[in-house]
Amino acid sequence: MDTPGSLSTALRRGTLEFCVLALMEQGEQYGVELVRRLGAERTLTTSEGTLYPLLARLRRAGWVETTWRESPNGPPRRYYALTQHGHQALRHFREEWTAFRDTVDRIVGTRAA
Amino acid sequence: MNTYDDLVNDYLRAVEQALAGVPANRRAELLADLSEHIAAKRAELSPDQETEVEVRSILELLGDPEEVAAEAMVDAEPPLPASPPILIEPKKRSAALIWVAVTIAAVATMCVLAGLLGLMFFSVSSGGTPEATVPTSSDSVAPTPSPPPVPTPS
Repeated sequence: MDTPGSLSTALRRGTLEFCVLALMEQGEQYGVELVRRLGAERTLTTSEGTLYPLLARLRRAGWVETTWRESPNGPPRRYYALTQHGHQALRHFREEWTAFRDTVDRIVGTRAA
Repeated sequence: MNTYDDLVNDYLRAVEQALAGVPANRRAELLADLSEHIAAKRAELSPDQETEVEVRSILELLGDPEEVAAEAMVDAEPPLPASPPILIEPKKRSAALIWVAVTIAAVATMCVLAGLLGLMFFSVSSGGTPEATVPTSSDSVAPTPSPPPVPTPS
């Protein structure tokens, strides 16, 4: 909590993975594209590379599954999709998050007008 | 494919070195993910177009090897929410409900059987005629711990 960066790191912890899940909610996503999109969100990520350990964690947790598909040009592509558990986890996060956000906003005084 | 492979390999080697202490399979997994990412992005550029600047920019977007490795260390310690309690809960609850229902059904069945047996025993021992059992049944089942009046067919 001593450097400005450590606050955003602490805030990302526990939330970023659900942003990743939410991006897959509407259907499977090409991994590289997913990483490109998230990597561009500078409030959420520091770099594209840091997303790969996170994706690996989601695979191990059984929240996402991946499929390899041939690509018209270049190497086969890896697609990510939510599993049943991933959908459940995202639903649960949404409930927790709204309650959490409301409480913080109320106490810290950041509630939207 | 060309001289830029060295750039890529240097990057991957730097990540690998920073990953010392991470289990070998995790290390291999991350390195594979990163090299797939790099290969896919390089494939998007047509080979004759590929420049050092572009390859460097792919690596820069991936970020500092130390930082990428640090992210893999985070979950190397505890095996993350591999079995998050939230996921098990709903299942457990429905399983518990099923058990409660099964138990109630079993107890109810036993009560009905006990009642029927008691009824049969009474009508046999009292030697009553079939007509006699019908009016007496309601008050005569008392000795056995009988179930609440269950409509008995027959």
